[in-house]
Amino acid sequence: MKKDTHVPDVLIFNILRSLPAKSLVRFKCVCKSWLSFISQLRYDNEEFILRTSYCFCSIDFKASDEIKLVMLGYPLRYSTDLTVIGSCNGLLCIRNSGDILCIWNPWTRRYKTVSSEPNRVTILSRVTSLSGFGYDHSTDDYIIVRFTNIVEIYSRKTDSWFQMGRLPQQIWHSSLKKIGFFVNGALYWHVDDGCLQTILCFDLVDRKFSMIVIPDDHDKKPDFDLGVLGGRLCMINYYHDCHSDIWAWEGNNNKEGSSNWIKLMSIPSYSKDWSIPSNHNKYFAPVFLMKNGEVVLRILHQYHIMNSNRRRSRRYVTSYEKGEKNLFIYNQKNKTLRELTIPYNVFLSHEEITYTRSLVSPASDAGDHESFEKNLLCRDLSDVEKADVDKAIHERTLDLQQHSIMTTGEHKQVRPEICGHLLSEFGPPCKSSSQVSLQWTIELDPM
Amino acid sequence: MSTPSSSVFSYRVLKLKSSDGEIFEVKQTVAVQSGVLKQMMEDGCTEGEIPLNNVDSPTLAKIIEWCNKHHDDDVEGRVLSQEKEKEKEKADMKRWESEFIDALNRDELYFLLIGSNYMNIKELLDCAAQKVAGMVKGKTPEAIREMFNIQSDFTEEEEKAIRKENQWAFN
Repeated sequence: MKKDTHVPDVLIFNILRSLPAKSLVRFKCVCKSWLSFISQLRYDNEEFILRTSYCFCSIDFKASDEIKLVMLGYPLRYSTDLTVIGSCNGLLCIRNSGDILCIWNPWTRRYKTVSSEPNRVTILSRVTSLSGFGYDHSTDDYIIVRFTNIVEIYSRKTDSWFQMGRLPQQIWHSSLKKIGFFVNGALYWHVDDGCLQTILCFDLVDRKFSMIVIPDDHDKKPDFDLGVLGGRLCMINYYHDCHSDIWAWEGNNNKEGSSNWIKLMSIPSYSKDWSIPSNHNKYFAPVFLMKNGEVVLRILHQYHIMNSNRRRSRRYVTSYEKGEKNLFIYNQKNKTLRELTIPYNVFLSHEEITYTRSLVSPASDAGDHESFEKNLLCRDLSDVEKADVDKAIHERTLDLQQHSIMTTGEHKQVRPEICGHLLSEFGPPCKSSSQVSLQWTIELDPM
Repeated sequence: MSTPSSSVFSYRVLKLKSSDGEIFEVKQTVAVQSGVLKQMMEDGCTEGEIPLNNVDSPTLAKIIEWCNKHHDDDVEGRVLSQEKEKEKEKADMKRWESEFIDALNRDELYFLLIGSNYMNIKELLDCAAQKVAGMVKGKTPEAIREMFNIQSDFTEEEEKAIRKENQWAFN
């Protein structure tokens, strides 16, 4: 090589972006400018992850004709009853069936299992109602939050659990098992019992809980759900005519603690607008916002269930009926809908995860799962027996249906008077109006 | 004179001058693949020789070979009746591209990378970058320094510390 050939750094660095994580991390010691570039490297493409019957897969939307599943594997023993607690800065936090928590970076393929506190936590874990995973930028720490009646916080830095206090019973009882959404330094849970719908917020920096009352849309009384689309906290309103509206939260923007919801888009009804025959109410739920503005949708089935106090309550369940088209892409500009073809309907979980690659280490003593799944990763998707997958889908569907019946059956109803009480005790003096939310702080009771 | 009509436009020729003074004649319809030349054509400043100070003659010859191939076999531009035919042309082009890139030695590849970046020919730049990425992947830091002619500016202790912190990546 001629000694004077010098490829400019900017060209090389562009090439580095496309390299696998392991090579990149190793190249940190090439020289100082490489170290600085690699340490500050941010990937800006959000990826959409689905859980299948045998591993986590990222969806490659760039593949032109058919959606390609890119296997991410999984570091621990894989089973269908894993729960994804959260996704943040390229790390996923997953709860295993044995109540082991795992912080995992699928891109660097490094993971760390989190020790549960002995005895007490294992007993309580069965009634864990809310959990979440996020990042505290003030201390550069990754935090797992979970609560039953006691709020417990895990810090990655200290690798230990800390008990914060008790949350008012009405809140955690009314929430079932919910996973929080991490947005801009705070976790958000949808608290819903059929008559009171609010958002519980936990700020990871100042470690304070607050409640957000959603705007009161008197005429239409939509049901709502939370989600994160394009890095923003979104409220999805499901209306009786099966169309849904997506609103994005603007966060606190004035002194009174109220904040605005801005309408992002409206998604037409599943059966009416697209003439798709359907026996019962089906909705489109947005699960991922693509870079080009298109939205990935999944189907929600609505069931009416009688509560213990004879109130009709609506429940949404995602189920996978045989032959049903599972995911769709909606283009709001052209008002077009197209189906995502996924081989063999391999995905099963109703957890759709948005994730952005990073080189963030799960912990200094993280393990490597390269050898663990070498065999798995060598297998092509087509090698998986279709019959096995179908069987797994069938079992999982049954499992999901049973689960939904079970949880609703157990579900403790907060009576309207308690809701009134909750609002009078913790709430603001006035009701929130359309498009404006009120937020107020909840103090934890001492242990 | 105002902008030439498209038929005249397509037969006009640009004179490109490499860093070592050699002149290459290129049809405008071919040269348009370069973002820089396209801009110059639009601005109407392509009279006379266009100096390309960052591209030597062997590299420029390679770049023009690439552009000619991609102009002649412009898959998108031609109406092909059969889907299969289209697929085949795409596959043929891919094969040609990889043979073209693989035939280069390391220096030629670097010059092509720099040249295609300078002339803003995105497809060629991507192709060359992909080739370099393939060469870099899996290498040791020492091999990388040799490849790109980089001197380490770490002290022994500093390098040791980085290695220790990222031990997993060295296994």
